[in-house]
Amino acid sequence: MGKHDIHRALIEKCCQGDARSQYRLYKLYSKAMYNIAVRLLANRMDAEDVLQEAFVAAFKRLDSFREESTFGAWLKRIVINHCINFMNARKQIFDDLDTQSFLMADDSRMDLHASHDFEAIHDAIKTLPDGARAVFNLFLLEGYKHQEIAQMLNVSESTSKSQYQRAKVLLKEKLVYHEKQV
Amino acid sequence: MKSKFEEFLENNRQQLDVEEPDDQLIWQGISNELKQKPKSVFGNFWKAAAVILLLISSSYFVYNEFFKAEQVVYTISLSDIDPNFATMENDYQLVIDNKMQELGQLSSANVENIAVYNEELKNLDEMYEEYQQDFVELGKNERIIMAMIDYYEKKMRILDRMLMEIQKQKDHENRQEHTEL
Repeated sequence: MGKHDIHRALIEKCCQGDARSQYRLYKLYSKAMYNIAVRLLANRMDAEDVLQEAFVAAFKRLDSFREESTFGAWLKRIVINHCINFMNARKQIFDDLDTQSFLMADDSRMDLHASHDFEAIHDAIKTLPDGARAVFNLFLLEGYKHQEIAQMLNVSESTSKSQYQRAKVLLKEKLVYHEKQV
Repeated sequence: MKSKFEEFLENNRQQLDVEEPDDQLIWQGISNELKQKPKSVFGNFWKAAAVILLLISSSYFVYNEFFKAEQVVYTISLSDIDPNFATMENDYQLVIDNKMQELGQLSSANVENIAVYNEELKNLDEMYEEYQQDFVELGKNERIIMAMIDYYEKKMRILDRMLMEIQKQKDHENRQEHTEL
């Protein structure tokens, strides 16, 4: 039985309200989804709350999952939407930025000695300012285009791009500082 | 063009998932929410039916109590049981009649608000009928007399609450009108 079929069988049982199958499905995705949420929200408790809401929403509308995408991608979209709603409710608004200054920013030396310390990178992403953090996560780690991000966050495409540049510069500073500390 | 750092992160994306969620806590929350019974259409239907029934019965009761000329005449009253209670009963009845009249003038207000009291009054009157039956069956009995006195007192308290409720509603409406102006 392939991974796809296992998922299909699990999802069918979840649709029938089988709690054990729901837990199995949850466990399959909880770590990946939690990390997406905690990197976006930068707060453990908020991520836990949002993850809970997102999974409940997903289980409640599981019958609308059409297998046009993978289950993981479908679920990820729900989690990300819940995170964005949460940020909007908290009014985590983007700072006004001078777009040009960041587009010009030099990131050639971003090739760092790119520390392979994933924990340090994960932590550094969490310390980015709200707007830059959201765009960096959505663009580089979750694979959205700037145009999509602009729609999701209700900002202009150029704001999304400049926030991304800003995030890279800030991240570099943070990681260089971290390397020096180590 | 993407820098090596960006490429590095894209290629090692999964290794960035370094944090462990508190699965026990999160699942507990999910499980609790999923266990809550969904509101069924059927449940709503019965709720709606109950509300309609309550409105019809309370309107019927209000109509009978306040607008119909004939009041319920009890076959046996306290004064029949014991002439000593005649004055007391008259006093009670007088107060109750006054309050009823007052209510009759005010009750055009919000019937829904006082429906619950109408229900209480109805129950009380049913109990009074039972006391009368008990009296026929058991004869003069101190317990029945006390219960009948209690009936009058309770009835007065309910009528007071009804009047208060209606007055509150009217005050509220007046305040709203005043604010709108």
